[in-house]
Amino acid sequence: MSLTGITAYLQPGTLEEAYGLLDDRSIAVGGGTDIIRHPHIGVTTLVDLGALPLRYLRHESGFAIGGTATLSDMLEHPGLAAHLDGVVAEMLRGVGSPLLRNAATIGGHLARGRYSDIVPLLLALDATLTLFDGTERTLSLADYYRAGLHRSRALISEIGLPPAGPDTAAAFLKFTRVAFDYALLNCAVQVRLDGRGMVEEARVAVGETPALGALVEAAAQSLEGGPLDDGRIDASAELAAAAIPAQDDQRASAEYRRALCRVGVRRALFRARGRLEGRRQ
Amino acid sequence: MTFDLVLNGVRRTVQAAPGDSLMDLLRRLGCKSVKNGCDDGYCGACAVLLDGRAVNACLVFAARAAGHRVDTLEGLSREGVLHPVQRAALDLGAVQCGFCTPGIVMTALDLLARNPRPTEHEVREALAGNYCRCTGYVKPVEAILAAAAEMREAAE
Ligand SMILES: Cc1cc2nc3c(=O)[nH]c(=O)nc-3n(C[C@H](O)[C@H](O)[C@H](O)COP(=O)(O)OP(=O)(O)OC[C@H]3O[C@@H](n4cnc5c(N)ncnc54)[C@H](O)[C@@H]3O)c2cc1C
Repeated sequence: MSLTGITAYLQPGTLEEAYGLLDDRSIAVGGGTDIIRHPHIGVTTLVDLGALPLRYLRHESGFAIGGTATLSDMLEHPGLAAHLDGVVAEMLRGVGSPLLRNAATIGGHLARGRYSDIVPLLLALDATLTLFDGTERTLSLADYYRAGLHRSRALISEIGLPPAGPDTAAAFLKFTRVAFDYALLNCAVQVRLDGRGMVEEARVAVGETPALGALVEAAAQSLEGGPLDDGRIDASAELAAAAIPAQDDQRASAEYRRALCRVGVRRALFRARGRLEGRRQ
Repeated sequence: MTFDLVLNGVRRTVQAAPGDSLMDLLRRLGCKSVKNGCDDGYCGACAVLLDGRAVNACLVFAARAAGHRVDTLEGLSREGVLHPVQRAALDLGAVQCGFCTPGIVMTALDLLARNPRPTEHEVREALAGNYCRCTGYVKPVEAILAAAAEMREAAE
C-alpha cells in the first residue's frame, strides 16, 4: 500500500547517521512490511536501514544476528536451523509466508512489538539485543520490552542468542485458526537440566494473550529444582494459565486463551523433555 | 524522486514518490503481471523477484529497489519462448482464471534457484503465501515439479 504524505526516502550508510536522521517526522524502515501497511500521521521521512552493514548472521559461541537480517536469512542459516533441535526454524516457518520472510527483518519485527511468534521464543531462549541510541549497549530482550524501548527511537543493531549445551532443550507452539495467520496464543519454553537430571533453569513465555509475549516467572520457577516429570509439568502449565494477562478480542476469548495456554505450555514442556531424552540415547 | 534499477535485465531510470510501493511503481511502468490482489501481503499475486528473492511487491517500498535487480513475469520469456515454469503451468492445467499465476511463477523461480530438486512438500511450503481463489493448488504444484525436472535435464 503506497503511503501518502511521505516527502523523503533516505538511505544512510552508518548506524550513527541513521539514528541522527530520526525525529518526530521520520521513521526507520527495516523491511518496511509493517510500516507500508499503516498510515503514519505526521511522518514525512522514511529512513531506510537497508544500506547499513547489518545484514549478517554469525555462529560464534552462540549466534549474532544483524538487525537487518531477514527472517529468511535466519531460516536458511544451517547453524541456526539446527540450533536447539531446530526450534527457531520451526517457529519461523509459521511466520507469515516465504514472501513475507524474504522482506521482513528481525530488527523491524522486534521493534514493532506486537503480534509476534518470534518474541515468545526469543524470550525463552534468553536473547539479547544490541541497541544504538547515540551510544551502543546490550540488554536482554525481556528488559527491552519491560522498559518500553520498542516505543523509543533506539535502533536494534544486533540480536544475540546464547549458546546451548546438550542439557538444554526448547520448544515452541502456536495455535491458529488457519495455517497462515496470527496466533490465537503461542508459547515457548526452554529447560536446562543439571547433572542429576533436575531442572536447573526454566523459562516459559506466552504470547498473544493478546498482549505481546512475556515471560511467566511463576510457571518457570515451579519447575526449577525438581525433575521434569508429568506432575510438575502439569502444575507449571496450570500456573501459566492462571498467570497470563488473558483478554477477549476478535480472535479468542480470555477463557479460551487460558485453556490454550494450559495445553500449549504442557505440550511444549513435554516436547522439550522428549528432546532431552532423545539426546541421552 | 528519480533512481535507477535493473528491471527484467534492463537498466531503467524511473520516478516514484518516496512512499510508493514497488507494486504501484511496477504497474505504472507497465508490468501488469504484478497483480494488486489485496495490497496487504496476504495473497501473493504481486510477487516479484528483488535481487532474486520473491517478495510481495505491495509490502516493499519502491525506493528500496534503487540500484537493485527487479524481475517480473514480463521478463521471463525469451524471443517468444516461454520459461519452463510458464510452459508447464499452461500444459499441465495450472492456470484457471490466471490472476494468481504470475505470482506463483515468480515464487517458484525463487524456490528453484535455491533448490533445483524440491519435494512436493517443499513446493507447497514455498507457495504458502500465494493464494489461488479458484482453489487450484494441485496443478500448480505438479507444474512446478515438472518444470523443475525439465530444468534439471536442460542443465545437465
Ligand atoms: C501478511 C502478513 C502476515 C504476517 N504473519 C505473521 C505471523 O504469522 N507471525 C508473526 O510473528 N508476524 C507476522 N507478521 C508480521 C511480520 O513479521 C512483520 O511485519 C515484520 O517482521 C516486520 O519487519 P520489517 O522489517 O518489515 O519491519 P518494518 O515495517 O520495517 O518496521 C517495523 C517497526 O520497526 C521499526 N524498525 C525497523 N527496523 C528497526 C531496527 N533495526 N531497529 C529499531 N527499529 C526498527 C520501524 O520504525 C517500525 O516502527 C505478518 C505480517 C504480514 C504483512
